[in-house]
Amino acid sequence: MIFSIIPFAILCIYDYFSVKAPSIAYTPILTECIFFTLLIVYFFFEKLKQDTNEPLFNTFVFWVAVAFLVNYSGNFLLFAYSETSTKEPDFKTNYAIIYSTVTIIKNLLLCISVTVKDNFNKTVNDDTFLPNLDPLIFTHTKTDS
Amino acid sequence: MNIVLIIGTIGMLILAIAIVGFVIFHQRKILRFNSQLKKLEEEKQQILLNASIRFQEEERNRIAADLHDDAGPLLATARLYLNENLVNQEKAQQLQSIYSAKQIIDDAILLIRNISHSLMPPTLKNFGLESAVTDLFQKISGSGSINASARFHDYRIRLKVEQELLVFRIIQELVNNVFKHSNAGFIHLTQNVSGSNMYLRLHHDGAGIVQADFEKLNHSALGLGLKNIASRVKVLNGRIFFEIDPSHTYYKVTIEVPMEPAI
Repeated sequence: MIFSIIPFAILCIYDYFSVKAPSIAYTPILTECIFFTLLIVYFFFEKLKQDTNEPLFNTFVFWVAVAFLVNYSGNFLLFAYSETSTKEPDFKTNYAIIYSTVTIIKNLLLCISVTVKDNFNKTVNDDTFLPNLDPLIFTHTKTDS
Repeated sequence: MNIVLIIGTIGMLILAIAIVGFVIFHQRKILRFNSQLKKLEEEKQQILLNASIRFQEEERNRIAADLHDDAGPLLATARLYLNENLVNQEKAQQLQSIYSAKQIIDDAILLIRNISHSLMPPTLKNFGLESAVTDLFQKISGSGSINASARFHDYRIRLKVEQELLVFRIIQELVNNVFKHSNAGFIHLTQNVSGSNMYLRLHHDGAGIVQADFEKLNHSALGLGLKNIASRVKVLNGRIFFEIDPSHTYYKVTIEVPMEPAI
């Protein structure tokens, strides 16, 4: 994840120098949306693999992840269309409605996240380590007899 | 364009909610499965407890039978020899009666000692697990029916007596099972220590069971001996593993015991 900052930074710099007139950096924003959406889905996948007794919705991180998933998926098409449709008056109205709605939902979900009492824990540690005793029988049985 | 945007955004939100819903429901399914597993584990504990109680009752009955059927008649016979008429008998007959009574009492003492040794082997009490196990294996080997050997690699610190007795009983039960069911030609026990745990591994070349069979037998009405092993391992806070060697030439049983040294 840390290393993904480098290509993203290159993309942002490229986008900054490639656009002629000053405007919103749609390409980096869309890249960010896709990247974070995939990251959140991957996060859910990893959480499902963990062996825990705690329901996922009882955790703080779950609600933060849901908030940002809703934010990025809700605004994705808005950002995708923004590059070509910013001059349409209807689009501006829709932009305001959709963006505000999604932001409110996101903030509500973040509010929920801070109210959740998080119990850090609880992966079941199934340690099945056993030392290898097999060589001992073959090295020492001869001396027994 | 605007309708497409609105419908698309709603579609994206529905997709996001569907993902979240799937995650929640799937995890609930896993949690339900885990709770069922826990329930099964509790049932297993109950079976082990019942088996342990049954075993204790059987052991008590055996001791009661030994005392009633053997020690009781012996002492009653001795009493007959030492009745009130003894003083009226001739001196030679008196001596004969006293001698007979003495012999019977000696037999009774031996019998009671044997019963007591079956409860707590004196070698184990006095010299520890290593000597008791080595002694057991020497006796087995001496019978000539099976080649038995035991090797303790690191037993400098003795375990608590209760722990030693439990481990010894587990080994006895395992060896007993090997005799009864496996038709093995050799049986070998290895002991070693790693960290704060002691490991004992029993190898034999006869028919055996693997962990899945052990779990299955533990959940069934069969296999009282295995249930006793499982309950003793649980008392020790240890673990037991039944495996087969990758070469399929011998079976091995590994017991992990958290060490509690004797003070």
